[in-house]
Amino acid sequence: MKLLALLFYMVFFLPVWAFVRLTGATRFGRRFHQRDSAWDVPVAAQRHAQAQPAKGAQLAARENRG
Amino acid sequence: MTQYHLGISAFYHDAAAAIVNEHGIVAAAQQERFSRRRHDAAFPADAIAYCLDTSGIELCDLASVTYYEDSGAKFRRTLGSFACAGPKGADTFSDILPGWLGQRRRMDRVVAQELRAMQRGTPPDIKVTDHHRSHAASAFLPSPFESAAILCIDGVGEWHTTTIWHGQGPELRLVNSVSYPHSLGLLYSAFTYYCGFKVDSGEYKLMGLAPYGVPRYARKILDHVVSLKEDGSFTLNLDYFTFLEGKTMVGQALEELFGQPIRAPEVEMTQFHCDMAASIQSVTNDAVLGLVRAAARMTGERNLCIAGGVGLNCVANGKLIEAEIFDRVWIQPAAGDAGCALGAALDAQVAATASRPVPTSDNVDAMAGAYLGPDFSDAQIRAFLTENGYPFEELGEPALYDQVAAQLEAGEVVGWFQGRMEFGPRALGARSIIGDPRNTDMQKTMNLRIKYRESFRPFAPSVLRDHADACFDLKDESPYMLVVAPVTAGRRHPISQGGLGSINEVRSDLPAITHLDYSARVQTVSPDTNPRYAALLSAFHARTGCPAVVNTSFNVRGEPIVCTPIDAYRCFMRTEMDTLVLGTCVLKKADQPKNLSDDNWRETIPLD
Repeated sequence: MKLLALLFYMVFFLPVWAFVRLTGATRFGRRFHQRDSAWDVPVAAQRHAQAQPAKGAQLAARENRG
Repeated sequence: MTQYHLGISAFYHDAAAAIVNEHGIVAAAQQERFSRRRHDAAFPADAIAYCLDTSGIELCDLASVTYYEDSGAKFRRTLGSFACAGPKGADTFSDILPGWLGQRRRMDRVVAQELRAMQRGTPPDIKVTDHHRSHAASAFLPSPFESAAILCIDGVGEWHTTTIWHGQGPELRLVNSVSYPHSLGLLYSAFTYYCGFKVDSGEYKLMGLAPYGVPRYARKILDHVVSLKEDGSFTLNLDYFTFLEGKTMVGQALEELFGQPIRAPEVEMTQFHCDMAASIQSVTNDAVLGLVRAAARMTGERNLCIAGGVGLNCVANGKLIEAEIFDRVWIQPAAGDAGCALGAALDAQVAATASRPVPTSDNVDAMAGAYLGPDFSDAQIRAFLTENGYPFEELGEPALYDQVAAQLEAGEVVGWFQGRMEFGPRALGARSIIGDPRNTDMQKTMNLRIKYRESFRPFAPSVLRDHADACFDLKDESPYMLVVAPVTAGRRHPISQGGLGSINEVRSDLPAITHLDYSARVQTVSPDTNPRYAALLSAFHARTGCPAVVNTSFNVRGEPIVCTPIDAYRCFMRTEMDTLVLGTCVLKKADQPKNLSDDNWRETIPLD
């Protein structure tokens, strides 16, 4: 099981990690740290999210998580 | 027919159970108090059994059972985290994957199995809610507010690490959130680890260490480690953290940034660690203030409710109250994950009835002073003492308070065991060790001879609500000991040096509870919620003119707070406490049998 897990890690996770390291994309990357805001729902979009609370907030959050 | 709703938190840390009905909260308790394992994460069978017994029902009588978080979503977050961890995470991943592929990602099934194993009838289907929703429900639904902003800050739930909610009547609406890996809770835990304390239990030690230092590294932390944004959000620079890899919190990068290695546990503390504690506390205060301002902007509310582990940071709580961003602030006394059990139960109750269990009122919350745990009658206590042949004296109520007040004045340390046990991490006068705060040796005595813990650790006061102003500059009541407030200027004494060298300096005329920065973590006591404790404080006040006592939890270092008279008696005999008060029964150490000592007990309790 441990060997399978290691294999899985190397085949799937290491390429993702390499991509993130190179591009700085996703909220785990350095570029995210340099953003002006880390709210899942961008504050500018807050009014819209408030108008459609559940759906608006969830969609914006999903988008923002990258 | 009365409908009961059970909430359960378990399998991470601080497992707990809570049961509510349409009339309010019936019972709530942490599993650690029964199992005697601090922060016990195991399935809370004992706490559930206690909740059922108190309600007089079986599992089959429950209207709902709710587990406090979505383990499937946690599994997906764990995968996402490892996908970004790099080669160093492979080892840990291969260790934990079998667990996740087994039962961990369907904890609701484990809960169902465990409940069936209790053989107390067939429970209803297990519902699952979100971790931060559980926190938010625990913060708002028992609060005294009809509507409020709700701020939840912790390490991490499923994805969320910080959430802002809007509570109106029975409704909770998620307004905004910050998600993993950017987490104030993890930031504070990372520095807890860096300073040599245990993660998820040593955070309050770091908070207690902060006043001994100067925040000389705060700027460096803000420049390199965490970025506080103008809109109140924040991000962590993951170059300085190793928690993605799953084994530790920080590593070489942080050591190089500050030029000091990670402190090993129990190794001597230096001024560097004090300054580091002060620095991260200062950064946390700023971060929390930013979030509180954001919550005010986003909701337009004048009341604030708080939950999540960071809600137990009394220093940050004191700062946010001082800032007067909100008119009123209410903090859930079980703000950590144990409180999620209560939130999950309350949320289910509201979903079933579309109304909050207890009508809101201006000053009274629905927590019953957090006295929601097991109770032992005077008759039960008397029977326990008589059966075991432990000498005691039983006193009527007025005489009891006068005698204990006299013993406190004489410098004795008293174990005080009364009524229902507290729910949450604080002892609030039901399972407390108390002493005279005017006594200059009391802090040292309690730390080294009673609690067996680090000498820098401060103690907190309980003060009569109506006399709190005479001792502390409090803006509002603090019934749950979750707010730090300054000792009034007139009581302070000048300090000569500061830092660790000032541990034993007398800082005020209440030296045992005055921290180095003249602050104190205050509990205001009212006869409405704890009449016996209030009566004792009144007797002490009448005798000495001092309306406060030192109040520390009834346990020794590494042990959970005592639950039963047996736990209390054992703790009494293991320490140098002078007197034990169990209900109306008073036990003197000198009268107790000498053959009860278990000299090796320290080896059985791991240090926290």
